[in-house]
Amino acid sequence: MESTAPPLRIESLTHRYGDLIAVDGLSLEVLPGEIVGFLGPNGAGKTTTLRVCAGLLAPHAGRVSIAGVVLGDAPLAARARFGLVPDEPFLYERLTPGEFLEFVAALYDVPPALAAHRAGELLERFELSGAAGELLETCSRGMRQKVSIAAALLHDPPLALLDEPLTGLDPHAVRALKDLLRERAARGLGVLVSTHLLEVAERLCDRVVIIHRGKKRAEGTPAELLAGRADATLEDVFLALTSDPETAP
Amino acid sequence: MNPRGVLLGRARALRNSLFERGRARAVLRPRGPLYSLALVAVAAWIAHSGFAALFAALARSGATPAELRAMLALALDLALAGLLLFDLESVVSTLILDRDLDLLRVAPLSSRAILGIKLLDAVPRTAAPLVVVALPALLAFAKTRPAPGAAWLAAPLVLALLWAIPLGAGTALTLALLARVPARRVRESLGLVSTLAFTGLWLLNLFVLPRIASEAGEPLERVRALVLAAAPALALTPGGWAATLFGGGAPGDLARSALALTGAAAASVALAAFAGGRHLAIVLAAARTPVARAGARRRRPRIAARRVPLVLAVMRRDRLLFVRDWTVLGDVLTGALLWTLVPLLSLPLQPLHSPALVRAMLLTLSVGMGYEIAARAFPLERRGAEWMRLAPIPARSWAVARLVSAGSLALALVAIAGASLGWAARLGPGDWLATLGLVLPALALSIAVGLWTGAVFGDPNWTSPRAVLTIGGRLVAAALVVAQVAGWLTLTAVGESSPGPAGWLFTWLPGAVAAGLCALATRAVARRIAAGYSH
Repeated sequence: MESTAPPLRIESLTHRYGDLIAVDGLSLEVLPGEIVGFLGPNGAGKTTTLRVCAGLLAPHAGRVSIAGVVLGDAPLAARARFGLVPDEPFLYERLTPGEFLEFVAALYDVPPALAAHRAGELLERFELSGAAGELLETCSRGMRQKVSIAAALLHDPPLALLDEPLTGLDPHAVRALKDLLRERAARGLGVLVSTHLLEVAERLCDRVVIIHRGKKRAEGTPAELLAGRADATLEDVFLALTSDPETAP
Repeated sequence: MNPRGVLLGRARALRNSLFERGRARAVLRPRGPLYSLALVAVAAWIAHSGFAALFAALARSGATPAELRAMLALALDLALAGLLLFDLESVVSTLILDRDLDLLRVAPLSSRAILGIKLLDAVPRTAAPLVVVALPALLAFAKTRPAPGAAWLAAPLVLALLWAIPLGAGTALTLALLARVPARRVRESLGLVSTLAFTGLWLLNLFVLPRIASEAGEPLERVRALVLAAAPALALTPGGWAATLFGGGAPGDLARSALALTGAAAASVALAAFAGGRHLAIVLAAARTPVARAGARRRRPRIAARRVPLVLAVMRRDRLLFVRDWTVLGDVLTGALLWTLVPLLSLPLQPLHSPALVRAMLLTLSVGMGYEIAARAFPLERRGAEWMRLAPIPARSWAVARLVSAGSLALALVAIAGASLGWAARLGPGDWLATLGLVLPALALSIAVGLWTGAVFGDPNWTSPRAVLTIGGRLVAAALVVAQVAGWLTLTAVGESSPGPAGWLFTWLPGAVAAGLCALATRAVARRIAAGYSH
């Protein structure tokens, strides 16, 4: 295991949809033990970046390395090193959470005893143990999101990629997720979390990357971004960085 | 409601489903559904060629105008049956399962207005039987008996009325049914209705068609005799009214047909509007209420004590997905029965001795399973299919695991059918060997081809379990099934009629060729998985 390699390194990443450049020469890094917030307005390229990092989209230029493994060179080894919580969960409607996690554990070849322990722990933390026997199609949006998070973290990957993970979660689950991510960071694992909730980013993340129209506009700790702006909040900084000149007040 | 605005919005949605709109420039590029339309056009052209040949042959054999009109009526009624059997479910699915329904439900719209909008949405999805059967039949008929200008002007209206009759009445009946039965499992209920209707028609065909075919005489004469005998009944059907309007007749007949067709369509639409106003809100609410599994277990998740290989994990998952979607399971079981019975159609025409008949039945069943099980495997996963690209597993391993999984489900059904038929026909060891030598390669090939069809044409957002492939995909899948059945049955027949080593070659060589083709199809599936099935 490449202990010194950063969990995620993105170098000059570009992805286009036809003529539209969704991600334009983006570079960023998630260091071991770091929670990085990935912020940007709608259509800024956050989800596209995460999907490229997960190998679901191919980059048109640039390079993505997951825990020292270049995604394009060794995709299978790279896939084993991250867990993705997508914006819309990838679930099997007619499986129960337990059956689904068992299937995911088999995909990642997690030793059965460890998989059972982790699945139980994750479901317990998200208060899902009682619903382990329900079909996913009958679960609420929040419950499905919790199962999606549990599936992404079941193999305890060096990197967690989370796309709007708080969608549909109740305050208890939000707290549980924050605690979980902090514990992961404390163990030296990396987290890249895309969110619209600037307060969450400000309190949870060690560092924040703001993108707009596919380009990085700012990067730093919340304190660094606020430096020199008296009485400003992260929201003010975000709005200032992501407003188009023609639409800015 | 602003009808102009609503119509404009639906027209834009339709245009955007056919053409990809460039975001930077206003460029329109064709999208998947447009290619499906191209396939529909090809099917229509083939149907037109067939109808044209039939009408020309009938005219040459001295068929009267009344006989030709009766033949046209039969074709139009066939299109109606197609609409009723295959597309009614699509309409009702559109009506109660489409994604924009919640938006429409919270808008200040009456149930009748929602019904109208959704029926309008259903036009492109349900026009296939009219475009593939009715329109080619009209055009072919006009080649033999040129129609007056007024008939051509009326043709679009006639087709629209033909469309409205089965769908209006069918929608009304289905809504009434769904409002009364526990409609929490609406999709399943619809699937079951469709499956039962399909099975009923199929069984009817099984017993009626062979008897028609077994009568003595030239095929064309038999068709003429059949059409002549059915003409009085056909004249009282929507197809008969439409044929009279298009094919000409006495002024009194024309007026009566126009009145009957318009009246039937109006009554049908009125019935749908009445049922929509009365039942739609209840059905929509019920359709959106999730239903908990009976006796759901409240316990911690069970994780297998041993490491589970990918193949076994995929097999377990597929088994659960198939078994828990009981409409799909019902469809598969019904399909298995019907595919097995296909060769019986030829019994009155060509008596077969038992081993050959068993072989033919198992061959059609094996090929059919490729469509019924394998082609559904990818779409059945919906968004879960993304795990094939997320998990650290090579695409070829996925393809092989899926082949084994779908194959094992199909093999179970083939084994049950084989054991029953073999026991009934008292097959000897030699017969078994020859049968398995053909059936197993046919099953492997059909599963691989079915997987490829599902991977390429599967629709992860399907709403009807009978339509998990795109329209184009269904046409391609049907063509591939027909080609496989024809190929295997031909090879079997040639092998049986060839004595000595040649016969042996015809029995075993196809197996080797099928294995090669199966490998090619599996590679294509792996490539599709690597490229992203749902993208």
